[in-house]
Amino acid sequence: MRKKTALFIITILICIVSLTACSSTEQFFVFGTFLDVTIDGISSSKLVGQINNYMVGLEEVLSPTIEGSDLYKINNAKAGEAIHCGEDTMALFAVAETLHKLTDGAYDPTIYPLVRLWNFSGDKFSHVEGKTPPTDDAISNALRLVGFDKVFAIDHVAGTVTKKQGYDNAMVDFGGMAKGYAVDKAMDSLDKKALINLGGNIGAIGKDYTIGIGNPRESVTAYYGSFTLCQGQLISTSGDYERCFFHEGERYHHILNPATGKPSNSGLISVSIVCSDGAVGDALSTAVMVLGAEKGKEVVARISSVLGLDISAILIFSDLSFEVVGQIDFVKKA
Amino acid sequence: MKNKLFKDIFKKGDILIAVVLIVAVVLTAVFATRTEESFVEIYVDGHLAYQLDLDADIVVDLADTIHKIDLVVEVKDGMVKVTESNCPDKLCVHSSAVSSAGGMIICLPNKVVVKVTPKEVDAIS
Repeated sequence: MRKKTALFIITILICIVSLTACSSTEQFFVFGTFLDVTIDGISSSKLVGQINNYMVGLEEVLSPTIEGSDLYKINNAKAGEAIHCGEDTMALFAVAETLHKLTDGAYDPTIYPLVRLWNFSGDKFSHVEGKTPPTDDAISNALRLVGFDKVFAIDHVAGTVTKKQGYDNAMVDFGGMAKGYAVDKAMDSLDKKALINLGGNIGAIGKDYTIGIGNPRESVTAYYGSFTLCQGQLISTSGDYERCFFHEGERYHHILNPATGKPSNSGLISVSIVCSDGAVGDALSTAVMVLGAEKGKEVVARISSVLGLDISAILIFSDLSFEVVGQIDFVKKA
Repeated sequence: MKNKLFKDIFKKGDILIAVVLIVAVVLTAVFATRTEESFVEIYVDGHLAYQLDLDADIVVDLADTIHKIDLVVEVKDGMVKVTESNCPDKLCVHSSAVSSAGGMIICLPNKVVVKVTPKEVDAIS
């Protein structure tokens, strides 16, 4: 009889567990955007919380607007003052060095003074009516502080970053790379089936997911097409529709060309990069927006071969046509 | 006679287990097919505060239930949008309405996310 009672209780428990603990989805706010984590399996809720805590910790090191962060210290330092940085900051400087070189300067995190001048930084951006672009003089003044190899001396052995002489006002921001990096690092800590979405930087762990690419025009919210994001891969999308304002009928968006100091005008309005390295994918989506389709494809091929990465891309043009680079099953929504 | 045979094979506990299993199967089926409809999810500070049917018109004023958040979400004709908010920049109010094709309206100052995930995709980049 006791055996039967035990069997009965176990059966009920199995039923309850199978009904309630399929997966956990939670949303958080970090890196100035939303973090959406879905993990399959029992006791996943705790893991979801751990991922959020991890991201909050990373933001405290990498955000240029949080006092005491590595980037805040670098940006507020004088020329010649060596700033000691943590492991994550130095890792991002290393990726930035490589990508700045391989994209011929199209990815440049020292563009931050211009991002601030245009009011596109997270702490300054808003849809205030009557917003105007900065003057050409102001842009060329700020451009003097831009140039990753020109303004910073990076010592990977000592773990320090130093502004070079004459560049006291130079500033750096990994906004175009940190979110991809954060998702990538969070993926490493998980061995369950999970989907991590940090403001459109999405990583798939343990199984394949169907991902939609945001529609750059009809509506900011519907999607343009979809594809299968294979496990272990991440996607990052940059578009001219995200942080933008209109002045005299012209669109001014947040993806600035480091060569001109103005919003990119390459014929591409959205670029998605799919690869297994979150930081590279995130930075590359920005760089290809700046470079345009032809040069962008060359750079994607160059980075694939130099870094040994399998990189795919979805390019959307201003006439809303698209091109797929690499091996993904992208289908435009009917 | 028949009844006696039935009682010989099945004890009370067996029937109870059978009933529990049937209920579990039915509930699982109900839960598994629920996602076929388009739902609007409203998250406040990371927690799911409302789950609304996209096909049923409704106006939800978060101020009624959540202290300090003066934000109004309206579901009308299969579309959801934020119609009012006490945040400074009103990015959420200026955001396009979201249909069953999916998308998100975010109000960072209020930490509110209004989300419709289309059934065909798991997330949007």
